[in-house]
Amino acid sequence: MSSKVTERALNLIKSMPRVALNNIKPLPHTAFKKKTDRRGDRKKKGRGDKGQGARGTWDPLGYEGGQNPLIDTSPRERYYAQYAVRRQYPPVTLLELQRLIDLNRVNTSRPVDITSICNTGLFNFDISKNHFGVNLTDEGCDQFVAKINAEVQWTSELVIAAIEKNGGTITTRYYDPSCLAALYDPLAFFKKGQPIPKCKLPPQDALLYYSDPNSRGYLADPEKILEAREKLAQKYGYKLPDLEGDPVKEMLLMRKDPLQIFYGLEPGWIVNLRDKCVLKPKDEDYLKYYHSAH
Amino acid sequence: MAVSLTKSLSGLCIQARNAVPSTNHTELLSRNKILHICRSFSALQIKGLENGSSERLSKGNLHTSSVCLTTPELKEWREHRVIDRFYRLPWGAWIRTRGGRKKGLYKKVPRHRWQLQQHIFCNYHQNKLLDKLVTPKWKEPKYFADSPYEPYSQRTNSYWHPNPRKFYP
Repeated sequence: MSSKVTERALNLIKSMPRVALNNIKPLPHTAFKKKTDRRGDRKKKGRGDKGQGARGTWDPLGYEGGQNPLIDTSPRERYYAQYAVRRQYPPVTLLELQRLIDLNRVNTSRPVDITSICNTGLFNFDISKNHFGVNLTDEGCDQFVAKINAEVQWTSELVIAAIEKNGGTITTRYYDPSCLAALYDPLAFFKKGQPIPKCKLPPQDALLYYSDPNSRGYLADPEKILEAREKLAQKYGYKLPDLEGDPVKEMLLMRKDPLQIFYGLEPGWIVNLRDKCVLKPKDEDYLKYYHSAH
Repeated sequence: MAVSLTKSLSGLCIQARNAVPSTNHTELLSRNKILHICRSFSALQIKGLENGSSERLSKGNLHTSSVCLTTPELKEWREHRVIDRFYRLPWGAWIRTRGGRKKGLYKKVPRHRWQLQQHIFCNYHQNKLLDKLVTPKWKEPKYFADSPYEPYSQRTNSYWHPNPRKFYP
């Protein structure tokens, strides 16, 4: 037992750089106090003669000497209307996604979710800043060649076309903040021992987007989504690959239930990491709550 | 409000088909043979919307996300004279509107009217001043969806505001 400890300690020391002046620091009680230059501490205290500088009666910021300042005369424009309530979607470009796939940081044999993007460790979002998920942008749409089943929170038509052209599928899915917190770090969430939350429906202003087949919303009619796929292929001029004879068809068609957050796990279940089991509720009221949108 | 909700939901046509707990998705044969509906356990039935059953779909019934989740105490402090009039682009520029763009248009030449419609940049000293007047949180990039100012959030071919591509080792 002790030999392992010494072995590890020796290995650690061997891997460290040589001790030099640039990587040691003095003990706290030996550090000397810097002597301040007290030459200017007489009479005017370094403030010069009279004026605002000496008397500290500065004009307020934005004051323009009595002239109507810019911050008063500019017309008011609702740039930041509803800023504290509006949803934000930090962007991830298609180029970045392709690079992550090429570097094997994202597994394309499973659906590419917001969790898989966050698990790379290269993307963070902050729920306190009203981040509601990921926005897949169209930079690098010409270089995108991967076939994936993507699930993001916001995207544009060009991105949908780029992904479907390569034989993949994309869905836009809404997650409310508590679900998003669980998705950002599933391990930390499971360690809390709380039941998996059920995902709420989107707010009213988002409902239209997520039920629109053109944006591949998760609440849209699947038949209309198929029509929209064909229309988009015609619009952008590519042949829509047939998914019928595809070996990964099952993976590409994997979708979560509107109330479900994790694949294979239903809301209401508790994942017990310690005992390596999953606890499922049997009570009717619980099941009714977790299996309905009401 | 209930009317608008039913109108927006009338595009939905979700039907929970034979809830089978074990399977994740059920495939239905269609003309393309890949039509799928994945409703494994939830009874998310919003069928019959076309009939206008607004009672069932009232906001209290469905668990939708709440929109108004902030209070003045939770919001970041802001200088109203700045936030009400200027917009900060993430690379340091501030934009504003021109005065008089809605007044006396009958006596203005079309070109003048067009000019007044434009949102213009503030100069270097104004940018510095406005940066001092707001807290650091206002300088963080905002990723609003469908914002008209999103194309201007990044510079291209600028020596002073380089926009390098991220490199992942």
